[in-house]
Amino acid sequence: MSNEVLQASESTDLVASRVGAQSRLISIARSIIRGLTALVCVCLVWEAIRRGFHFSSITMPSAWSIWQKFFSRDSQGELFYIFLAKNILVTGRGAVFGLLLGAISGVTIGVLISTNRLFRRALLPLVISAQTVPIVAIAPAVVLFFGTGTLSKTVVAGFLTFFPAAVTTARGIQSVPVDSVNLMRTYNASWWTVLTTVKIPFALPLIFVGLETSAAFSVVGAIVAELPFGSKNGLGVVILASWQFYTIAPQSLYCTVIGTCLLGALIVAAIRIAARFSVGSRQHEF
Amino acid sequence: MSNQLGLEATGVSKIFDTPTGTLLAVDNVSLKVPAGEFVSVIGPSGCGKSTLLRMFADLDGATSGNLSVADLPSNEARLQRKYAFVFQAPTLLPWKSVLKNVALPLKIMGTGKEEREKVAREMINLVGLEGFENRLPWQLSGGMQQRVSIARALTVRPPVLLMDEPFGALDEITRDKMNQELVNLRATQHQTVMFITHSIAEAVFLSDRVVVMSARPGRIIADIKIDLPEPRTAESRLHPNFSAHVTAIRGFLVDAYNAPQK
Repeated sequence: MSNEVLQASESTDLVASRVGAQSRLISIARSIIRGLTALVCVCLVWEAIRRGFHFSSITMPSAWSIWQKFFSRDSQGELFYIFLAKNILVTGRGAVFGLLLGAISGVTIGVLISTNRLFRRALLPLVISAQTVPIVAIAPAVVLFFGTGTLSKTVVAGFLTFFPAAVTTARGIQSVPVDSVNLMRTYNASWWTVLTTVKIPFALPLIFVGLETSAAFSVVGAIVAELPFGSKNGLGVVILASWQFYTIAPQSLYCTVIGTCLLGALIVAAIRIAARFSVGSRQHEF
Repeated sequence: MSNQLGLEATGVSKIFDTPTGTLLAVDNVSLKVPAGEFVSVIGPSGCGKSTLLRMFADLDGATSGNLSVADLPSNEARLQRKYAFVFQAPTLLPWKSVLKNVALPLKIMGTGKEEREKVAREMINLVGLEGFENRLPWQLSGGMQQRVSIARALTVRPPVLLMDEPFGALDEITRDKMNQELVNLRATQHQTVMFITHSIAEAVFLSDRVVVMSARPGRIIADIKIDLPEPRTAESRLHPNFSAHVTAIRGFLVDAYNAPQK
């Protein structure tokens, strides 16, 4: 190609990146405004249903009272949202570690299932039946075994998150173009080289989709592990306490639910950022 | 001229097991290609020419018969990397730049970074893509991607090139340009080339020899030596022998298409 055309395309790249930075800020601002608008709409619908059906303020507290609850102080003078944030961190730690555990074991199992027929026959039935085990039933056993700290949260969250990771990894590896693998065979590449150079990179976009699903499960898993046998801290504990006061003051339960959603959303956002960072350059349509 | 054979097939057959029964794809094919010769294989779709190429590359095993590449059995040749394969699709890794894609075979062979980038840049220049080293595959046109694929094939300087319809997806003009580039590339390195194509004109332009295969099960029904002056240029297409060869090969191909299929 001639030099002039090359220079022209280089200068458009520079312009594009400058415009890109500006439009990124604008798009972030736009999405914040959209989020806030959605929140206001949800509140309006909530209030409309509450007043339209004449629900009592115990059955369905007003949106304003829920909002106020965030800023109320408890007997020690601590603001509720601070209290909530501390518990989010406690649960979040277990959720994130559980997600890492589930991701690593899930991806490993996914790789084994998709590359080796023997492993597939041996592991796939186990993986599928593990998914149907009711988590609420085994959580007490896990807590008995691992105690009430972060470890049992990690185990339960990991248990819930490894299935989506395994399944999407296996699917992703199966969708690698055959000729890319054949190309590696013509170089006499080892199975490990083929796995790390071709198979896993091709499967990464799908793996990240699986991890986003896993993210939601990791928070649920961590909370479920906090419910039995009285852990001291965490969102599960706050939920248990809120249940006790539910007939008097239901607001704290709703606040806690909102806090939980926030935690889940943060983890999903982190995974999306990681995904864009590692596969964003490929121009995949998602 | 040494006795070395670029490629040899002796009594090669290939039977596929399919859910609906066995399929004889290649039927007792024998072929001798001296080192440095360019042979094109042409034939109806599904006649087994790609299968034959893949058997030479040890990507598929032969049901019976022997194949050798650069005087080694095909599996040895693959282990010793005596050939490079160019697929119909560019098969570039979409997350790697042009430079990293071209340097890939050397990286797998363990060559150091500086050395392999030097060779990669050389090959990128050779195919006329200097300036595009840091582009990603999605930023290139189909013809450019295929050129990257060829540059990658050349980095290991293989004695044998196996090419499966590499220019099939390109438009006429780009295809002619790529044909000329391939001819120019071979002028210095004299690789043995086995080239699958559907285009009779392309086969005649590029080759020393054109082999025509019958419809499935694939057998060799014609083996035509191309008599055109070297080096091949755009003028070669105007040479009287050119159209004579094209007509002759077309005749064989029509027979191949009309022959009863099993």
